[in-house]
Amino acid sequence: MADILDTFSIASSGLAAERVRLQSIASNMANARTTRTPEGGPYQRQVPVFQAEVIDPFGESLDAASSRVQVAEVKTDDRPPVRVYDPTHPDAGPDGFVAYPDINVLQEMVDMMTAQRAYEANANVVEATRDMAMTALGIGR
Amino acid sequence: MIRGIGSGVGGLEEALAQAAKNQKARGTEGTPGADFGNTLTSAVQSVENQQAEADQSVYRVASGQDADLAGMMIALEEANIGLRAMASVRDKVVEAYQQIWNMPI
Amino acid sequence: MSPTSGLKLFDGLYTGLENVLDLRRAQHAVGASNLANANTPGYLAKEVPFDALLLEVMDLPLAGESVSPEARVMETMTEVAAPESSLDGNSVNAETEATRLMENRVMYEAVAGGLSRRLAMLRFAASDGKI
Repeated sequence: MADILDTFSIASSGLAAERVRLQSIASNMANARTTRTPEGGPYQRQVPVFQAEVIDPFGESLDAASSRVQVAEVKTDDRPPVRVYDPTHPDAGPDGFVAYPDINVLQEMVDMMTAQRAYEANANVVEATRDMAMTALGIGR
Repeated sequence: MIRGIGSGVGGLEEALAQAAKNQKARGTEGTPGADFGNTLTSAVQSVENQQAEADQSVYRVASGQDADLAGMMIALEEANIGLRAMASVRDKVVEAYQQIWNMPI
Repeated sequence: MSPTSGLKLFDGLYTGLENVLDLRRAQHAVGASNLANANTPGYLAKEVPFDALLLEVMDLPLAGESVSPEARVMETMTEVAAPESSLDGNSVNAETEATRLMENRVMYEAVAGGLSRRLAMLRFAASDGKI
């Protein structure tokens, strides 16, 4: 039954990773027009970087082929800010341009839907795993 | 293919009904021994067939050659009922035998 | 280690059914890995020739030969190449994986149910009908 218990950990890693992504997306969408941050300059888009983590690379069994997912880091997008001419804006530079984050809200929403679907898929895996484990325990009763 | 759950015991009933008909046809209603033996033999055969059918059904579903899950469950249930009915008849026969054996002459 | 493995020696069909359960559990783990990494850049989906393996693990015990479903999964596992249209090198098709996982789970429970009932009948017969 080791596969079953490993599968719980795989699926919950998926849930955790997608949750981080949803959080980043929420932050990006909320700050799509933020021109001022404590670090100075406009808000920088957050991009979580996913990485596969093999359960046991040195094992000979299925553990060598099964992977969890982990968020290696939450990168700051290095896309240059969008510059808009607006001298009246409080954050306008000496040249009259305001620096806005280069965030496409529609793109963020597409990413959000992908993350949500992935989250649901992993939640279904958890449920299926639980049912299969309970079924296995019930054999022979 | 839907078979009634009752046909699980029906294997036994059919065999007994057939045995009764045979006795009438041959006019040998007075020799219960031979025909009862035949009845039991065919009932056992019937139960064995049900077991084989259930095994076949389970094999086909498990190996991916068949997706008829309901058919499999029904075949298993029929085999189960047939088996238990057989055991019940066996118990009653043994009981009757013992009663007869213990009768004072 | 399953609770009923002591009976393995006596019944090829029984062994086959246990093998199918092992195989489907392994497939479940592979599918879960693929789904968890559906959005991981560069991750290639893993797959096995499942239908062929299913027949193999059922038929070999009936012929008196043993087989390890997990070993066969490892031996026959391949990676799906990323489509040219992929931006991040990921080759997981989440919809296909999710559907396959759900079907696998239903069949797992069907086979487990069949195994359980059959075991109960064997037990009943072995106990001389006393249960």
